[in-house]
Amino acid sequence: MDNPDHGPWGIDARGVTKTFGSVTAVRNLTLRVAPGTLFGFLGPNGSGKSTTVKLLTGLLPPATGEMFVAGHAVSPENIALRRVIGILPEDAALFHSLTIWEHLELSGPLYGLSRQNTRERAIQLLRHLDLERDSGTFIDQASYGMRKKCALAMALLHNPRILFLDEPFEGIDPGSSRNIKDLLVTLAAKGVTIFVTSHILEVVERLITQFAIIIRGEVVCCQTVADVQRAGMTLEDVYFKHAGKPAIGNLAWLGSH
Amino acid sequence: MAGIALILRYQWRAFWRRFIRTRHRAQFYLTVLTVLVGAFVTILPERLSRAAQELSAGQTTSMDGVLWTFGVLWLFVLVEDANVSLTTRHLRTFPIDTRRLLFVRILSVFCSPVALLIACGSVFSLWPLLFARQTILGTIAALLLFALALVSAMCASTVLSVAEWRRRLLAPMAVIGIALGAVFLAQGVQGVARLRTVAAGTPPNLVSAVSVAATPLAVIVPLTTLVVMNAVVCLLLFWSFRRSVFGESAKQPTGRSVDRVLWFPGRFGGLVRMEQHYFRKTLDVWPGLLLVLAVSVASLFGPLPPIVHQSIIVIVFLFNINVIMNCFGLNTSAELNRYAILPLRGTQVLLVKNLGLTVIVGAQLALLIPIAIWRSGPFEAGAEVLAATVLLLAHLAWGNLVSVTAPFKMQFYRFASNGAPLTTMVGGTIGSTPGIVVLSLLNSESSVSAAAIAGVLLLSLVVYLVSLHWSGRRFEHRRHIIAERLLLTI
Repeated sequence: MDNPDHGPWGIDARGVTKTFGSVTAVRNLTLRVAPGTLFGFLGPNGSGKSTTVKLLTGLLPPATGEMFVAGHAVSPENIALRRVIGILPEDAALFHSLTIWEHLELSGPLYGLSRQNTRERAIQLLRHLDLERDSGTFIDQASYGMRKKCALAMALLHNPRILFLDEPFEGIDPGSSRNIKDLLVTLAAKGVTIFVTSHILEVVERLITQFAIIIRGEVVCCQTVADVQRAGMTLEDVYFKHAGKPAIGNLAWLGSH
Repeated sequence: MAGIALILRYQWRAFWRRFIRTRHRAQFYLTVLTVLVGAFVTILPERLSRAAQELSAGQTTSMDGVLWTFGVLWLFVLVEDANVSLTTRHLRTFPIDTRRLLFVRILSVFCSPVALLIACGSVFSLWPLLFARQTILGTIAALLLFALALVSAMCASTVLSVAEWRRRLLAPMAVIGIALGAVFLAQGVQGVARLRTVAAGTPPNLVSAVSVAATPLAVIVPLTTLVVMNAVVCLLLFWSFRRSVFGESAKQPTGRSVDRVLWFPGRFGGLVRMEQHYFRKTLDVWPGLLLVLAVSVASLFGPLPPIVHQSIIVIVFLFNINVIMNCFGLNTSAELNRYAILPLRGTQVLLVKNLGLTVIVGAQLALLIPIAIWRSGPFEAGAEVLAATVLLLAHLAWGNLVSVTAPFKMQFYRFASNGAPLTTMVGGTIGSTPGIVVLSLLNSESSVSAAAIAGVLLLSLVVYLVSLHWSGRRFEHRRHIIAERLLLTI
């Protein structure tokens, strides 16, 4: 199932297509991300970012194409793959009747961590993410940001080699956001490959080293931030060049009471 | 009123759209409707005719039965109430006052074909009152009874949706239920007679009393009682509805950890604990426990025949059947994603679910064992453990197959509905048969019983393991389909 030829690449996707009925969500995705890269995956709403994350993590099977992550073939059955990746999914994928602490407590042993080790790591992660005081909060009563941070802590708990983060900064307070950014930079420096989707261009521009833009399921651009800066442009310029600026409707009636 | 009509129009549209899109929901309604229509066509005319004859002679036995039946049928609203699409919590963001929200909620129940059929049947059941001494007052009393049943069911539904009230009200109600059940079981025929005496003062009997009343006082007392009962329940519904929708009490207290009473060791311990916690939050698993508690209390006053204990074990599994056959029904799509993220094979996910169910069944039946040892000796206790084990394996084997092939959404603090009743009946038969065979063998004098019992146990274990493996593989491939099904039936 796993192919050592794909070892040098953190993420290696070739000709991946995903369709839902007559709708093609992702079309012929080909992507290579080197280990230790902080990779930004950008695009407008409904362009296929979250579907791509699900495909690359084995949460969705592709219609065609092959993918390797950390040298492991991506498939829903590949348990070895799941052990080496950390995922912060779009919906956070949390159990609504458990507390934040219980999520971490049940997650660690499933990745082979001892209870003691799980507790130590969980305490450190919760402190770093400013969730320590809220660890007893039930997920169905936690704020959106708290849920995101809980899912992020779960993604990091087992020390993954590849991290997939779907909109990690959405709903996160500035303090925690800063901590998360610092943490991601440190992890990338240590060789962890990080795949981030985001709408917040100003944030990711300061964070990522390489990016791709996906529009209506197709990757239309893939380059490094350094190249963009050398061309005297910003990430926003490149984004709007490919995505186009949104049309402005006549909303003069708004505010006219 | 225009706003209410608009909401109800969309409520109606959403209900029937889901009806069409979800195969199991359609199956559920078609089976229930077939049974109800069949009963209405075959049994009801004869019963109503007899009730009419009796009422004209001043007797009420048959009419009491008819009114009791429809009073209980109105409680079906409790199940249907969980199936509305545009819930009050969604609607409260609109500028609609509480009274109108409540009105919408009550009328929304009538989107269901079952509720409509019950309403039609209820109106039809008033026909014998034409032959009663007090036709008009009797009809008014009957309409008050149906309103009382509907509002009571809505009230129960509201109470169940608030954690604080569940804790405060359900425990005393359970104690009363256990006490009544124990009295009934311990006294046998005498217990039934006593229950009948108590039932004479219940709302259906008040309606009959009004319809055959000969004096003004005999009309005023039961009719006033019904009016007062309705007023009280309506006020209670309005108050509880308002608190449940806008009150802070709708929230669980923060910081309270999932209780660790039903602890489970090992790598999967955390997940098993969570699963049993989920299963515990369905109403389906509680009647079984109450039944066991009632039997246990009754056993304190005198030994019950072993067949009672053995039957109770089979019945407990039948109560649990919807949960066993739909072990993903309480999960959200996001939770299914988490199962895919965790390094677990499909078989392990199913095993975790099965262990959670085993903890629940163990807790339900735990009291029977010491009581069996005390009253009937260790052999009888061993027989009960053996029967329960075989029943568990057989039910889980079938339950795993159905869980991955025909999942449907279940709600917390509601009885499971929407499943395919035929599948449930087949599951009940398949799941119960090996246990009943074991119990028959245990009660027989045959010399080959031990070998046959060992054979059934071994066969059940093998079938369970095959089912676990196959269902686990199927779960891996069908997770998205299961998630879609659960989304469709929310």
